Amino acid sequence: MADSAAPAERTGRDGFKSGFGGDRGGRGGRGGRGGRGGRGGRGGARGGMGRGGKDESKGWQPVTKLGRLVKEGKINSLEEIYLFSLPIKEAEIVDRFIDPSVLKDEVLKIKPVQKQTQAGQRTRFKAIVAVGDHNGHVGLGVKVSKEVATAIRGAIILAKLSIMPVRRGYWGNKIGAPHTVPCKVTGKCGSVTVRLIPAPRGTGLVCAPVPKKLLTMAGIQDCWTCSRGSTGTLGNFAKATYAAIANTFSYLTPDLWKETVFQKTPYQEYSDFLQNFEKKSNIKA
Amino acid sequence: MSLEAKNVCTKPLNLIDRIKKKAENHEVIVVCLRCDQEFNVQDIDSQKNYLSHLLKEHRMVISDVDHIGHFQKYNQYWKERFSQRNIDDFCFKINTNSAQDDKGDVESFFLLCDDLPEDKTLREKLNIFKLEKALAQQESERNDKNYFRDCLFCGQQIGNNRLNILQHLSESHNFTVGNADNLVYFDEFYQKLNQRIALNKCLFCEKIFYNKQTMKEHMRKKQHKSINPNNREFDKFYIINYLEYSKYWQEIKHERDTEENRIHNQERNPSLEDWNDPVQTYCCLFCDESFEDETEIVDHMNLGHKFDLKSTQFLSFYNQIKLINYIRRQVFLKNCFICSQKFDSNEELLKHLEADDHIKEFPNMDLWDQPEYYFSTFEDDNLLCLLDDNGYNKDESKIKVIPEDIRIEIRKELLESLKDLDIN
Repeated sequence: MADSAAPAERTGRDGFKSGFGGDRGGRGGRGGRGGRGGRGGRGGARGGMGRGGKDESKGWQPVTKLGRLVKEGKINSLEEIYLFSLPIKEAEIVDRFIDPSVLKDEVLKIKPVQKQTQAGQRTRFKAIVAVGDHNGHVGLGVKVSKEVATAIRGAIILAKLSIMPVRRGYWGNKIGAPHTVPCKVTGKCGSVTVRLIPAPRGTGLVCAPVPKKLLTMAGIQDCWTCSRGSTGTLGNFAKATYAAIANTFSYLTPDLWKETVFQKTPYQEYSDFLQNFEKKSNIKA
Repeated sequence: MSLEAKNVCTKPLNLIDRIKKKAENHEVIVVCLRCDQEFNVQDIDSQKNYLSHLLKEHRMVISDVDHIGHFQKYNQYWKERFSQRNIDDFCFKINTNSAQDDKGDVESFFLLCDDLPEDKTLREKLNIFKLEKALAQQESERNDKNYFRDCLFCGQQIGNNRLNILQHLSESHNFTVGNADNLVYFDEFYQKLNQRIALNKCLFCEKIFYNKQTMKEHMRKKQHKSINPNNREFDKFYIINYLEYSKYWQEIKHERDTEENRIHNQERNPSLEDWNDPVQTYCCLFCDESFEDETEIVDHMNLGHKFDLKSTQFLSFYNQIKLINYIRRQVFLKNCFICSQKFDSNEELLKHLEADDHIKEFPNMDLWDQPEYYFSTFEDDNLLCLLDDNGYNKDESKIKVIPEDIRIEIRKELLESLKDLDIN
């Protein structure tokens, strides 16, 4: 379901503003985009920044420094952002690197949640959405709202902000494209633990429907899973799978042993260069 | 022993055929609250029949019947409660003709409404039930890729999802009913719209015209290209109306989306959080029984077939997978997995396994330690997800898994640009 909130498609969706006499399905819900239902500290806080650039004629107006760099084209790929663990706070950054037609989103679940207030119970819809390009990037977003469409839209944006790279591997021999997880990885959320185990080509995804969707979006084709805990709580189950997938890059496999153990950090290494560059630019100015 | 040559399965197998579907109860019979008469409440008219009976015979009124999520359950609940205690404890009494000037006799009526806290919680629970049903319906509509309908105005056939139909209506005809994700029971909704247009009725102001042409002109000129917001008939098609049983969408629209305080954001209703989603069913290795709980299936195989799944834990994870797939395959082919004896039916196989106590034995490793058993015998075999992976086992040292290369160059220009970003 290519239902992303890309600028091109937004004009189509804006047409829905007047449903029931002008009030229904509008963008009103966007205003209160608080921290509620976000991914909770996974890779940086969310939602603090305001949404700039809703004006379609001007295009995207970046609000963050990283956003500005991306718009100017100084950064070539998402991997460079991941390298420095920079928090991504604008969904348009992701849209720049991964084409919106390639990035598929899927609603895992819409469920009603209740909150006790002074005025009685207050029910709202909670949307859990997963996005992925089926080739190494996956994200998960959760959003609560009184309208289903608003919740889904918000969740898609949060999912884009939480996009993670996925490391894959080969079973047996290194032919073709990677198809399975590189090692046994585990993820935990609440009482649910999910363990992903490498599998030979052709095994397929042997798991429950929820992790299956996440794993296909990540680009993993073969994998066994071992899940424990109350897997009925879909929110925790999805988050645990997401954590497990994210751990593929956290695990230090033997082939990485050689790399950057005693190297200077890039800033130290290039500090002279940077210093010189600064000096030069100061002199020139 | 090459059994493989004879026992080839050429098409993918599914366990889902084995899972017995629970019979759905479609009866909508209710037993009267005060007497034992039965009524059918399948549609609104027969429901009105029952309510008028209650009023005339028993002088009882149920308030806001339309807001009750599941009338049958509501009725059942209160019938039980009335049998336990006096009706006066639950219902409010309304006395008519009680003023001094009234000439008629004093009549008292019983009113069952949600001012009673017990009734209120019951109604809320039933509403959640109705909401969940609507959400499930919406999910199936969202994932339905075979939905084709003719456009309301130009008659073109559009598919494959209701989303495309709504997009076409908004782009080509400027007709909007809202976001597809806010709608439910879409088919019925579409039919209703079709009916109105067939009657040459404007969808917004509901005036009837002579022919379709004038109606289209009217809708275009007056910009009536949407639905009348005050028409309650369309409420059931918008899922926002299912949120709270007593509020319509106008009220909910004015409420805030989320509360101000972000500190304590956990939902206070744990029963809804732990609410179980489509639970996985696990099928027994030997018989056709299926269970939803993982402990149940292990116990069933232990007690029913004397097969202990936990006893395989000493094997490496990969070997456990192979063993389970092997057993599945042999049971499917009706062979004994220890002695490879063939049988004609599953019952005979089971008898043999239990009689000869083969089920307690461990099959010869050569039989099942083949790479073909890495692949699941059944496409949706959830039992494989229950196997314990008890850490590193030396059998696994033979298996090589190679991670992919990650190589990223740090460009000098990149470092320059990131200088301003205050990292490190």
